[in-house]
Amino acid sequence: MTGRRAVGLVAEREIRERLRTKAFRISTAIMCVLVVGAAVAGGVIGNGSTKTIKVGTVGADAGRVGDGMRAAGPALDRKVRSVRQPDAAAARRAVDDGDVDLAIVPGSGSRPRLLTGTDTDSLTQSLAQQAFRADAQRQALARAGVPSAERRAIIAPRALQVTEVGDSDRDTRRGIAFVGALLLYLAILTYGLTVASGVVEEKSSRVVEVLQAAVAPRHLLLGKVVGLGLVGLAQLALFVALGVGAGIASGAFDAPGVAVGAAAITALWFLLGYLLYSCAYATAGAISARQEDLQSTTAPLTILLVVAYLVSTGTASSPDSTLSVVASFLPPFAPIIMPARAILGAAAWWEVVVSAVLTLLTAALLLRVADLAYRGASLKVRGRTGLRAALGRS
Amino acid sequence: MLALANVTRRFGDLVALDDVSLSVAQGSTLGFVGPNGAGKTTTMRIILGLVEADAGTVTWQDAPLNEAARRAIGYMPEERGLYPRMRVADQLTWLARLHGADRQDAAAAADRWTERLGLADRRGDEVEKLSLGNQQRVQLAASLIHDPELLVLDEPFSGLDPTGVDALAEVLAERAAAGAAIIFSSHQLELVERQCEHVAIIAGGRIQTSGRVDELRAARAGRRLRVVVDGAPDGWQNRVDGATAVDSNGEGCVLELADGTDEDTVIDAVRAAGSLRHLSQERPTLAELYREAVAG
Repeated sequence: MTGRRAVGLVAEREIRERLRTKAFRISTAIMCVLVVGAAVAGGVIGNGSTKTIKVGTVGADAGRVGDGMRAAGPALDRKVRSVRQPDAAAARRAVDDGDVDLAIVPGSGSRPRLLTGTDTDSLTQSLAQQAFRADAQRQALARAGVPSAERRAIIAPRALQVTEVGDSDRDTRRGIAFVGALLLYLAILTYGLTVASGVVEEKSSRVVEVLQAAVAPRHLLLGKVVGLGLVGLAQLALFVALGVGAGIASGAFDAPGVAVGAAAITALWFLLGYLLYSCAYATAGAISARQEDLQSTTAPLTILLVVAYLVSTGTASSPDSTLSVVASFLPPFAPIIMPARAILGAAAWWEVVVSAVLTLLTAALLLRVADLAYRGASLKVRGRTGLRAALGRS
Repeated sequence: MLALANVTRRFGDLVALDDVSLSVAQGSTLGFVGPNGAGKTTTMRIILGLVEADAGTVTWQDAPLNEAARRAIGYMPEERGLYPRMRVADQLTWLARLHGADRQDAAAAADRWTERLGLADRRGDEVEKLSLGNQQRVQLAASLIHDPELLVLDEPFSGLDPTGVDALAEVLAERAAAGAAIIFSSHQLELVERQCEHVAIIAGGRIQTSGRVDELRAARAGRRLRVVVDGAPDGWQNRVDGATAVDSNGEGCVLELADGTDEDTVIDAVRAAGSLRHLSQERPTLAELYREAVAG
C-alpha cells in the first residue's frame, strides 16, 4: 500500500469517528449558537448608539428649551422627547423615579434650573445648556427688535465640517484581531490536545501494535494529524463563516471587506499553528502511557499557547510594540500574534511570509521528532517514556 | 516459507534472543513454546518489523521480508488491542482496507468473519460494549480479515472459553489447509501437540529444540521403556543398572536408558526384579520434551 493511501485511510477514520461522537456534535452546535449570538449582539449594541432622552419641563420657558433640545438632538445621536410636568416637585419625583432622564424647572430669577439624574451623561446636559442658550439669545434678539428672519439667520445652528483622520476601519480591525486570536488559541489548543489524547488512546488500548503491523508509524501519525486538522479547519471555517455572515447581516461590522480578509488570514494561520502544535502534542502523547499523564506532558505546550494568547491581547492595541513584533516571528507564538498584526494592517506582506516559512520549517522539524518519539515509545505501553528514551532506537 | 536465520537481539545488557533460527512452510503450523520471558514475543515482533534485530535475517519466500510483505501478515499481538469506541464492523472493514482491500471486499470480509465467529448480531456495537471473550473473537477476526498467507499469533488461545478454543483451532486448521504458514505461541502444550506438526521450544532466548512433533517424540521413544512388574520390591526401579527411572503418569514406571546401554540388558535386569507383565516403548509427550528442554 502506498504511503498516501495509508495516510488517507487513517485520516478518514479520524474524521469519521470524530463526526460520529455525540459530544462533538453537541459542542459544535452550542458553539454555532454562541458565535451567531455574539455577532448579532455586537450588531445590536453597536447600532444602539442613538439614545432616546425624555426631558420633563415645567412652564413655558422650560417648554421652549425642551423643544430646542428636540430640534438639536439628532445631531448628537439623541432622540429627545419633551414631557410637560405640572410643577417642580412632580418634575423632581419624575427624575428620581427615572420616568424622565432630566427636567427643566423654574429657578431663581430668569435662570431655570436643570434637574439631572445620577446617570445623566454630560453630552445630554450640554444639549440642554445649548438649547437654553439658543432660546435666551432668541428672546434677547426679539426684545432688541431684530426681525424674525434675521433672528433665525443669527441663531441657526452652525456646525463645523468633520473629517475623520486615520484608518476608519480601525475599531473593526481591533475587534476582529481580538476575536481571531481568541479563536486561534482555542482551536489550536483543542485540536492539539485531541491529537495527544488520540495518540494515548491508541497506546493505552494497545491497538497501536495491531496498527503498526499494518501501517508505518509515520503514516499513522501523519494521518491522525491530517484527519483531525481537517475536522478542526472545517469547524473553525463554520464558526468564522457563521460569525462573519451574522455580523455583516446584523451590521456589526462597519467594514465587511475587512472581516472577510481577516477570516482568510485566521484560517491560514490555524493551519500553520495546528501543524506546528499537533506534532508537538503528538510527541507529548507518545511519551505518555495513560490519559492521566497527559496533563503533565502537555503542560509546557499549553503554557506556550496561553502566553501567546496573552501577548496577543496587547497586540490588538499596540501591534507595533517590540514584544508584538518579536513574538510574531517566533514559531511558538507566531500563529496567534502574526495574524493579529496582519489583521490590524501592522505587518508588511514579507513579514507574514517570513514568519509563515519559519513556522513551517519548525513544524517539519517537529514532525520528525514526533515520528521518532511515536516509533520509539508506542510499543512501550507500561509507564511513561522519557523523551530521550522515546527518541532512541526502537 | 518464513525463515529466521541467526537472529540476535539485545535490550541493554539483556540478550533477549541469541542466534535464533526457525522456519515455517506454507500449509504448516509451528507451535512456539517456552517459559514467560523466553523471547517468544520479541521473536514475533521482529518478524513483524516492530522491533529490529541486531543481527540475523528474516525471509519470506527466500526474499528479505520487506515492508510491503510485512503489511500482509495476519498478526495478533500478545497485548490485545482494538479501538474501544469504534463499532465492530466499521473497525474490521477499516483494518481490512488498511491491509490493502478495497471498500467492497473489506466490507464483505467483515461480514464473513463476524458471521463465522458468531458476532453477526454485534456488528453495530462498539467494541468496548462486548464481553472480553467476544472482544477476543473480534481480535481474531482482525488478524484474519485480509486472508493472510502468513499468520503470526501471540498466545491466540489464552482467554478463550472451550467453544472459542475449538472455533479458533478449526479456523487455523482451515487456513493451514488453504496454504497459509502459521506460527503461534501458547502455554497449552496439549493443544499445541494436537494442532501443530512442528514445534520450536525456546528458553533463555535460545531455541532448545525444534522440528516435527512426531519426529521429536519418536527420537526419544527408543530410549524409554514403560514396564509393569509384579512382585518387585519397593524402589527396585532406582536400582536398575544402565537406566534411570523418570517421572511418568500411568501404570508401572518408565525407565530411560543411559547412552550405550543395550535394551536387552535392561530387560534382563527388570526380569530379575520380578515378573514382567507389560513392556512397551514410551513416546514422551510434548510436555515432557518441553520440561526436558527448558530444564537443560
